[in-house]
Amino acid sequence: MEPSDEELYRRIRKGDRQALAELYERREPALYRYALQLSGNQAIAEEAAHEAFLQLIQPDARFDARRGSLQAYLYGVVRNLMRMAYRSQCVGLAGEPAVDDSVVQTLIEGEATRALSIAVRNLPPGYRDAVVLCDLEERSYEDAAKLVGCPVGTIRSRLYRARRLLAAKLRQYRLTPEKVTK
Amino acid sequence: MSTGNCGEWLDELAECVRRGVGPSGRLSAHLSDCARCGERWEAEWVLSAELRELRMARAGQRSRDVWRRRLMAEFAGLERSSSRSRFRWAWIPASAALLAAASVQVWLGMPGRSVPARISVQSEDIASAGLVDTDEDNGFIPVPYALPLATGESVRIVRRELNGAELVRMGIDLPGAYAADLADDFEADVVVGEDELPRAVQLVSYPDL
Repeated sequence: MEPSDEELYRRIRKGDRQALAELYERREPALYRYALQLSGNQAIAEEAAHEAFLQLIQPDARFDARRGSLQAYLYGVVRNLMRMAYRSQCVGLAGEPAVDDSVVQTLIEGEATRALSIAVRNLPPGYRDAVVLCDLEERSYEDAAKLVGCPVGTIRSRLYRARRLLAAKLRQYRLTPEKVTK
Repeated sequence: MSTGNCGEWLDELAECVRRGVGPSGRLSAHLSDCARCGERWEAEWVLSAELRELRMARAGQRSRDVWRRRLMAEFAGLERSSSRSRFRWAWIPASAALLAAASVQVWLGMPGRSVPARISVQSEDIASAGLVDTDEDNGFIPVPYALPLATGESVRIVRRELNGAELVRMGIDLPGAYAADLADDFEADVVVGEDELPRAVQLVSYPDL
């Protein structure tokens, strides 16, 4: 049976490099994708995922197993980093994130998909988390609720509301594409 | 036959599309009765298709080797410095024992021997740091990414009324039951450093649900 994240963390605290490598392999890819979906920027996403692990290995790491799972802690660090990135780069831009759209530009071919990507990033934070975790990361409602730290019903209702907003954005995009992507 | 009002179908409609399954009998009847919900059904399918595109576009390969190596190097560096510090701390009891032994020797050798030698030990002011130490369950939640307190830096605790949005902006997760409403006001004790920046928060009263 493979060790739990928390068991790996205990071994990391004792200096076990193999445990760190194992935890990194297990959790980094999803953490990176989560950060990427939130930011739309590969460089920021890589930095954020890296920073989450750096926080974890510091002598004064703030993970406390009594307050939640290690996975939820890592997602929480990334979420906070994304909030900081938004705050520091959105000033004066009427809510439009000014982060560089490198990934959006290079990987997303469809105009509508690109518009959707921007719309996802402009959702209120709680709604954005629900869409990213449930619809883009394909996590269950229960998993997403644990990672965000809220009841399952809240995740579910946020997701449905977010989907209504996104569907409306897409409809609007089909009518007036230039206004939505601007 | 009545097929209910639109509001009661919205969530089921979204859930069917998310799962990629057809509508149940009653929902199907409602969709054929209600043009607005029929449009919404179509819009949900378009949205799901676009979300699938977005998911695939971002699942591209990338090299994690550089980041992995960087992390492992950082970890090795931390380990080295912590072994050094462990080694350094190991000398403290030994030094203290030697110092105590030397003091006793001096005291025994003094002619009057009436006044014992005094050894004054200067310690770092750690009282304030204890408040934001997560190892102790003192009820204070450290503000993520706040600058650490400088040695000897004093802190003060101020009581503030903060709403949920302000707490979230500080990086404090709201208790589950309150997470949905950021407009709620909480009474909180805030630990503030000499630079007036918050370091930790303890919620002392909660809004009525």
